[in-house]
Formats: sequence, C-alpha cells, structure tokens
Amino acid sequence: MRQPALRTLAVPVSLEETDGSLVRRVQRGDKSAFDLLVRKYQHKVVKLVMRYVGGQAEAEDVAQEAFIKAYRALANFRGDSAFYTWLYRIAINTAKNTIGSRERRMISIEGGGEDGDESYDLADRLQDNATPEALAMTDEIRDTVNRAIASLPEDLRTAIVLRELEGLSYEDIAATMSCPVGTVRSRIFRAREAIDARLREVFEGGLGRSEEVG
Amino acid sequence: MSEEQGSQLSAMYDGELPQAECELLARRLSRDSALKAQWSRYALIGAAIRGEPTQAAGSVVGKARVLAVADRVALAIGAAPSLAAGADLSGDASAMRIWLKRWAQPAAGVGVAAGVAALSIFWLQSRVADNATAITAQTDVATSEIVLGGTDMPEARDSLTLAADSAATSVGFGSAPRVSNGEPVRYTVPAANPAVAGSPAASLATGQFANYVVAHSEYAAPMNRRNVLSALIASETALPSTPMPQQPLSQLPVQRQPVQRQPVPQQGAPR
Repeated sequence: MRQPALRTLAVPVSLEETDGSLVRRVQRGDKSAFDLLVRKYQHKVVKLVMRYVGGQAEAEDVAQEAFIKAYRALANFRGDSAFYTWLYRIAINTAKNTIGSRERRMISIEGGGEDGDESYDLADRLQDNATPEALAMTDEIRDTVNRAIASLPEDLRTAIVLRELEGLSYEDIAATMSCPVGTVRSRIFRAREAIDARLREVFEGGLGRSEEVG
Repeated sequence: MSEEQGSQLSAMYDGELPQAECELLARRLSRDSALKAQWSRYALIGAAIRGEPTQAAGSVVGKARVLAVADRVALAIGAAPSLAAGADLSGDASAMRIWLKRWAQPAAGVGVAAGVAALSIFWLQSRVADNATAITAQTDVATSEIVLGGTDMPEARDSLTLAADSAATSVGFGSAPRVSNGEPVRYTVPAANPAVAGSPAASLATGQFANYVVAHSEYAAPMNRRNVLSALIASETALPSTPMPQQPLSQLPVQRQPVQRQPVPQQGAPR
C-alpha cells in the first residue's frame, strides 16, 4: 500500500470550514466537539509523532499531551491557518520537547546521577509497551479494511481510495471519475458503510468493544 | 441513524458538507453517541487505509483496558473548565470576541505607531523651527563673524574679508579656501543689500542661507559643500538686478581687520 510522506498536511480548503465549525463550538464551551477533532486526527498525530519519538506507546503519550495543549490554547486560535496545520505544529513542538527532556535526563544519568529509580523509570519509558495482542489487533483492523476495500465494486473502491489515500476533494474525484459530485458523495458513503460493517463484525467477534472504536 | 444522516456525516468528515448543514450536524454530534461512534469508525477506516496507527479505543487486551488517545484526552479535559467558562457563551459574543482579537489588536498597534510617528514629526519640525530662528537672529546683525583656519594662505585670508557693500558675497563663498588648522582668520559676511538684490525678502533669505552654508561648510562633505555653493552662486547670478563683480576675487576691495587669536573651532561652535 502506498505510504505518502506528506499526506498528513494535505487538508482541503473545505476541511477548514468543517473543522472551523467544530473549533467554534469548542470555543463556545462544547468539549464534545473537541473530542470529535481528537478522534478525527489522533491517528495522524500519533503517526507524525512516531517519526520523532519512535515507539507507539510514547507517541500516544506525546500525542495526548499535544492535544491537551491544543485544547488549552484553542481559545487563542484565530483560524489564520487550518486547524490541523496548527495542531501539527503543536505536536511537533511537543515531540521535540519530549526528546530534549529525555536527552537531558539521559545526560544526568550518564553523569553519575544518584537516583537509581530514575534510571529504572527512563528504561521503562523508552520501552515500547505495545503488547503482542494490541499489535495483532492493529494488524487485524488493517487486514479487515483492506479485504473490505478489495471486495468493493470498482466505482466505490476508486472513490474511497482517491478520497482517503490521495486526499482529493469531491470535485476532483468527480472530474477524475466523470460523474457528478453528488454521486461521488454517495459512493464514498456507501464504501464507508460497507467497510464499517466488516469492522463491526470484527469488534463484535471479540477483539474489542463494538460501541467505541478508536 | 438514517441513510441521509450517514451520508451527511460522511460528507462532513470529508469537509464537503455545506456550512449550514455542518453547524446543525455538529450540534447533533455533541448529543448523539451513535453518530459520534460512527465518526470514530470513519476516522479508523481512513487511518487503516493510509497505514496510520489504528489501535482501537476501549479494546480489551488481556485484563487491561487499553485507552486510545481520544479517550485519554477526553478524561484529561473532562475535569478542566470549558474554554468559554465565565464568559458569554452566545454565538454573537464569541464572534465579537474573535473579531476583537482579529481586528482591534492590530488597529491598536497601528494607532500607537501612528502616534509615535506624529510625535516624531512634531519634534523634528520644532527643531527645524528653532534652527531657523537662530539663523534669522544672526542675519539681523550687520555682519557675521566666522572663524576659519588657514594662516598658510594669506591671499585667501585677505580675500575672505570682504566689504559690507560688496556684491561678491556669493563669489567669496564659492571660492572659499579649505579650512585648515592654524591661525584663525576673521572675515566679514556682508549683509544683504535690498536695493541691489531687488526684493528685500529674497536678499534676506539669500543672506541667511549664505551665512548658514558658510557656518556649516566646515562639517559638510566636500562634494556636498561644493554642490550647495554652486547652486547658491547659480541662484545669485539668476537674479537680474544683482551686479556681479568684474574683477578677480583677489582684487576685490578688502576690509582688513585685526587678527585675533582664537581657539580652534569646535564642532557646532561657529555661527
């Protein structure tokens, strides 16, 4: 599967409007709107942070810290840039700060620090605590999605791949597939529904809860 | 959840839903847990397609409950006050606050900058006015005395002491010798003759300017000084009624005055 390097920044202009609606709701005091933004971008942020800190467990910690920082700073977010661009900067700065503090602690330990517990804590933090079960589940989710995509009709598969993987807008997809924008919207929805049905089977089959998914 | 609602949710997730519908659906998402769960699954599907980490929230691994980032963030900010706590939560007030942050702060900055600029201009103008007043006061005196160096140039020293009724003022300035350290020379700059120069005001202004140029020529760059003096001569010759001397500068009538020892001029001292 293709892994675009900078796709995380490819936020269409219209996405700014959607995110802007949610951001304004958060600024008016609606915390659940921020939860929607976190659920939408957590995967991208964790993947982004993993480029800096390595293991997924630590990347999730850093991502969590970045989201909390973003929430606290959201009152001052003026919408000059897209929400994800703004969040992207916060996540990178948080990751860099984490690396910096880790290196400072490493230096203090190598310099003959007296605190043995700190050494233990550092080693514990550096360890990627993703369990085999968790990794297996991640693989199963991915396999399920890929199998579901492969079983889709050609038009649905093309629409969802152009949207999710290539980041094209509905208008661009419509031009590519020579069909109206409304048809693109319908195809993408139907593709998602088909994949979601497969995913729900997996979760209800015992790997995870069926109600809330990542 | 109806199919239409699901289609709207899918379009909103992609940022392709019209703004008005988007606001309505965002409001419903805040209350409808099934819609929110579907939103999360759309995010999970996209992440899986792009190869991003897809650890599921709330999944049970052994006996430990593994939390996803969203759940942990929700827990962390759950106890925190909402962003609008203590403030008016209405949309108008929020929009006004955002508007003020966006426009009022830059406008205030521009206002402060304009105020500083206006004060600077006012201060500069007052300085210029003070200088002009000082020069005018000097030219009210019949003669102005300027101390120059140049004892090694006796001819030039003689020619620099000019008669008050001579019209060679500008010529004398144009050919003024270079200032050098040494015995100072005192010479007289004649007052403007209104009868000769035509307009009394023009003559007075020319005299003021001439005095000013001579007084400050010591500190000007040679090229600039030459240009200013050339322009001054040109303006003088342009006056139709101004008689120009027909004899060399060295043969002009000279009014000798006793030479007085004075200290070497300091910067800004000669006037």
